[in-house]
Amino acid sequence: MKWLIIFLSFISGLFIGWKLNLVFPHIGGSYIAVLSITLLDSIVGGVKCGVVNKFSSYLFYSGFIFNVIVAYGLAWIGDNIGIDLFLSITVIFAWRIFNNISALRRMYLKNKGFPFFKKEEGL
Amino acid sequence: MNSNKLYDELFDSSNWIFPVSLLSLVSGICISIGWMNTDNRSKVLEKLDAEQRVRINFGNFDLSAEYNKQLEEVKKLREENTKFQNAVAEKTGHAKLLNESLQELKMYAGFTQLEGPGVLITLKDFVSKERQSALFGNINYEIIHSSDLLDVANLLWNAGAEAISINSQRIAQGSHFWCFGSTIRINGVQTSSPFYIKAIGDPDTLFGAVLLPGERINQIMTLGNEDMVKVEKVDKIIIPAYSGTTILKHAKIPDGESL
Repeated sequence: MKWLIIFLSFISGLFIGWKLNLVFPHIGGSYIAVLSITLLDSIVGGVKCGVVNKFSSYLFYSGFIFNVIVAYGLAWIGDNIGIDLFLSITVIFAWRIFNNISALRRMYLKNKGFPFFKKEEGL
Repeated sequence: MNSNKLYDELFDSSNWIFPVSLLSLVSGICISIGWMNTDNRSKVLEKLDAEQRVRINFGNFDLSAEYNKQLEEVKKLREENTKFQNAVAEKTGHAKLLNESLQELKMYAGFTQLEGPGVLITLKDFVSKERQSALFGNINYEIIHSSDLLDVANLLWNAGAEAISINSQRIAQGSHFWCFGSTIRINGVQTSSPFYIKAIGDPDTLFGAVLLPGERINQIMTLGNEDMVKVEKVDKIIIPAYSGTTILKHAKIPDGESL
């Protein structure tokens, strides 16, 4: 049920964005991309914390907001000094997403009692 | 009571479904706004470097093939248009007169094929079997540049040429020569050496004007090599129609009073 809610809200978000039919020309498109990847990182991180019952909405929101601020600041500086920092931001967030997703997968498999994880402790 | 419970559940700091769903919604909106498709791709990429944009577009689809296809289409449609105009003109006398003047204008503007006597000039880069290194001599003189084509076209117009084409690109309103690395773009179409310049006019006058001492062709022959230039008088030469765009975005015919 909870997965369905998250999934449906994502799909309805896609639908709303499609219906809004906005185009951000120029470099604005890259900032939207950075925002998207920051959001995805926060979502995956939130899901992971929720699954292990360590979720705190204060941490969640503040983490997201600070990530966006830092990412935008870096991207803006990179824009102005001529380095493609968008790419590095994307790499870092993608890395975090992969980490969190693999942690989720390990948790799932461990809960199912797969034999590979019998000797391991923690995640 | 019930709503209170909902409120508590929604804003309970340890409840993770609501915040995560909220951000999922926002992220969905962002992703679909940032999604690039063929309609908004050019707008989104406007501020990128030209080089980067070219790379991205090459990854997307082959633009030049598309362009050539469109040119073929334009040519076909224009021929059909001429046919239709002729067909309409056969019906009535007035329309016939109108059509005659229209065809005359089209001929003048370069939208029809033309044939007549003239000259055929061949310009090509100098290729030497003995010397293949750029270290000796001035290689600059041994290459045909876009400015050469421009000068030759000017020379021909000045000598009374009535129609000019270079490598089957008609020189008409808005024609341009643009140096594009190893190729020259004529009317936006990439061409390269050898350049076949056809011109309709009085063959003797054109021939004499083109080979005038001190003018560009003469310079190419003296500074470069005589093999680079070939000028022939021709009794009958066919010049293709202009195939570029004719859409005017900003210009329009003024109202009567301002005339």
